[in-house]
Amino acid sequence: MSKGLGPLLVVGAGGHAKAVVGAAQVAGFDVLKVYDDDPDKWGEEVLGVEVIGPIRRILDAAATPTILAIGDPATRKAMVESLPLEWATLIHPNAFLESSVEVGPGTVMFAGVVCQPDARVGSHVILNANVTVASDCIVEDFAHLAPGVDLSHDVHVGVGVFMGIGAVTLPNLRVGNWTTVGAGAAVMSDLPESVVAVGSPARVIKSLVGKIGPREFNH
Amino acid sequence: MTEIVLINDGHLPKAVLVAAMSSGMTVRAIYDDQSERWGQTLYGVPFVGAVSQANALNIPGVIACDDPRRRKEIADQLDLKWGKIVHPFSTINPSAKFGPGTIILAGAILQPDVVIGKHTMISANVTIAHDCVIGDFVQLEPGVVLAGSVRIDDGAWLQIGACVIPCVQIGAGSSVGPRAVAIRDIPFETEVAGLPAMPV
Repeated sequence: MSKGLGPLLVVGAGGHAKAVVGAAQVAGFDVLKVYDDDPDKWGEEVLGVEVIGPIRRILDAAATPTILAIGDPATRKAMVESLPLEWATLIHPNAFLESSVEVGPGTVMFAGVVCQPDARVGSHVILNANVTVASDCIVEDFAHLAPGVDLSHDVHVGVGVFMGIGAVTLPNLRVGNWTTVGAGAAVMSDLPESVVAVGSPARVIKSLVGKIGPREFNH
Repeated sequence: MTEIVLINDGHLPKAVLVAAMSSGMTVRAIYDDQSERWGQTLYGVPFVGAVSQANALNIPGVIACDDPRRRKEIADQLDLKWGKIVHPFSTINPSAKFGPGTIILAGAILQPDVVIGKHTMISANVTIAHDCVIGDFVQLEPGVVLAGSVRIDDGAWLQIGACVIPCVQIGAGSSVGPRAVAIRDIPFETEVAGLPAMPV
């Protein structure tokens, strides 16, 4: 690849991996290997890149920048805590970030993402295709905003939040840590931690206390 | 290099200021009715005084505030030449047209033969399909999607992520709620929400 961002390793060979490997190749990374714990996937390819495993083998190449291709926020956090690796940041060339935007390591942004001035995006966040993050928003570590999510200005999205496809928020709101927002939901007031909220306006239908959050990840 | 001034009241969408700077404009000053801002700067641009002080300047102005009613009041109040702001990360078909005072932010897409009036704000990642006709002082919040041949009348406010299916008309001064989907015409000064969008 012409841009020469250097070698990259990818963890996870599920559906999300294809989007990550594709974005990495377009951005100019040389994707060397994809790691997965499922023996059925070993020897397969993701966009021409060989899948090998188990994941702990990546520790032999720990100096190579790595990105997680795992959509689930809790699994992503567990992986980061168990794998002492150097994390890359992956931004698709067709994403647009104003120069004042801050982005943490391990974060992935896909095509069509727009981050407006002074937005702050944490570590190991996924901003999926066509996501809008308006001015002064904060998106905390391990959050995943699915395709087409739009945040109004001054919204605070907590750690490990998952927002389903096309969900939106009004300005100046807070979505609590580890909360799940359903597809197409319209968040019109603050949401607490560790709940599932759906619909328009989004209302809480379930508590996730004790059911979601950092999980054990054993190697 | 084009010089402009920004006129504002209330919440200042700094994305508008940054869009102007990114497009190569020099923003000379911001006139803002929030007196506590006077003497401050934003990205190096000074807040120099009240909206009324921008009257009859010889530099074009753009009204930045995201409240379409306030934009209209300011436009009626000031005798000023109005500029346009187009973020460079937007996709505008050459056949699309938009009037003075209109603002187009990052990620917006305007397909062929779109016509947009004056002082309308097209926010980030808004999609406007072919042959849409959009009036003056309209506010399209981030992620709004308009299908082909949609008509949005003066002063309408489409909130974040709202969608309108083909050939539907949104009446003047109406509001379409967050992620609402308008599947039939909405009369003037009507507030709708939900899927399908219904009066609230």
